Amino acid sequence: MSDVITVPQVRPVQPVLRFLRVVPGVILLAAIGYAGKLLEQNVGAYAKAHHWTFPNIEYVLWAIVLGLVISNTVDVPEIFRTGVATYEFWLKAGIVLLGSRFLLGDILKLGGISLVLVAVEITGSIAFMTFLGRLFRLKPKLTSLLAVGSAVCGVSAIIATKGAIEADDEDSSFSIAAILALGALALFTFPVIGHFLHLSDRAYGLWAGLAVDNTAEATAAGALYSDAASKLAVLVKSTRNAMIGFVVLAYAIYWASRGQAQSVGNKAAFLWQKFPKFVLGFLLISVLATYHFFNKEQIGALANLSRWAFLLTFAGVGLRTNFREMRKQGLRPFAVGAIGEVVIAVFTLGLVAGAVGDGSHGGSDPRAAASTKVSSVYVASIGLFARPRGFFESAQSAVKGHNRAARENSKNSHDDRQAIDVDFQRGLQIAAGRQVVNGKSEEKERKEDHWKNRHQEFACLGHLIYGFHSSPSSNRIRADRPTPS
Amino acid sequence: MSGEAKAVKKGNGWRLSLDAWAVLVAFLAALLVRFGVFKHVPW
Repeated sequence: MSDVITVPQVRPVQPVLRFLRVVPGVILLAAIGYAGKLLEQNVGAYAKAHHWTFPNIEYVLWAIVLGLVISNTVDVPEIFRTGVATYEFWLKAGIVLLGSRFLLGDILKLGGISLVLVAVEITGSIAFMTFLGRLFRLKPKLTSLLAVGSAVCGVSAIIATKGAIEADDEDSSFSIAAILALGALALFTFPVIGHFLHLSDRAYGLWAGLAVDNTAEATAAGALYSDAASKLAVLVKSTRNAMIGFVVLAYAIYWASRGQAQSVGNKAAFLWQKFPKFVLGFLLISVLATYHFFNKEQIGALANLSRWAFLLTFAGVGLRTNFREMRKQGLRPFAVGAIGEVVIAVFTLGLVAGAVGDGSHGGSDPRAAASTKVSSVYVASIGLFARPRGFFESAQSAVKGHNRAARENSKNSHDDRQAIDVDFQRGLQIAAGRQVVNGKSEEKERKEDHWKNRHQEFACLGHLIYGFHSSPSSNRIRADRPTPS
Repeated sequence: MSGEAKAVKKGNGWRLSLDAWAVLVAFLAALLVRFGVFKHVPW
């Protein structure tokens, strides 16, 4: 027997072979996604033809459910697994393409609001999850991973943090399983809660982007509600993703200071390494769209390409979710994650209610009135972003206008953008605590009032100069009085 | 029994991340649409 161990040389897999390995899984993703699309079109039509009462189920849900059924019954065969794992690639490509449907101004306006919300959400989530981890006596690094996963962006954040704080594989598996299971639950519960509370597309999109952990699940939860909600959810989620580097860096420095992780040398390089590059792609394509690099038809084509990419993603979300595997990981991290997620969902709903109004569709529905009351309590108690007095009347009028405009124009991306642009401006005014009356903010009205008064004063001065009589009291004429000729 | 193992330094090479690939593919698709290779993408 030879005393020299011969290590078999592992030959690098050729790029062509690697590509071929991916193909079966991608075909499976496409087949499930397309089956979902066909089911959406045909099941509704069939039910209508036979006078059945059947809810209109979107392709997103069909694709996820089909994937879930396969994954949790026959399991995904080995040959498809490499290709199924590409769903994240399709998600990121889809988000970049979706950038063409945003004007840069929209992103800057909404980005401003969402950045504040994201900062509050991340701080609150990390603080609460850390408290919860200590309460349940979880291992400190496991607590850190769960906190990052629920505060920033799910699995990617956990993987990035794991490397930076040198956490155990077991801890990261626990956290990933908990975050994935909770993401799957959020996927089905968020749209139901959104409809129950009669949230507007904007309010729901913000909420899903802030509270759902994984980008794929956040996109799907948004798409299950509406196209406009999906767009917003993606934008807000991307803002959260952009924060990943800062949060991971903070954790790395914290654990290094305790001597339990390597210290970070070049912080700028670290941030760049952790920064999700698809966010840059999203912004860049939005800049191109803003400066008319694409015409209207081309933007429509890019939007459809983005939908196809998301179709593969949604199928992958279902195929990847295996409840048996998740059950094996134990109950305690899941319990901590679940309690944390519920609190974060309620907290972020309050933030959204405070930032953009109650978001109800209005009308005479008693549930809408009930949800308005819930939101009123929120705004009164949180009071972070809005002045409660006279707030809901203005928010409701803006939201009603937006909903109508968004629905009428949902097929037309340019008009849709304009509707959303108008809505963003209203949202910004509301977020700044200004009342919106008949489409004008109080401040704008005050300015107009001011200039009307100035104009009238000049007119009176003219009267004086040209020898007309004008008493001192009449020099200042209120705007509601007729202007002297 | 004595063992002998040779540490083989693995060449990392220059590899793009998944994100970077996604951005590249998305931009390639956008350029193909922009320059009329894909005139209409159905849904």
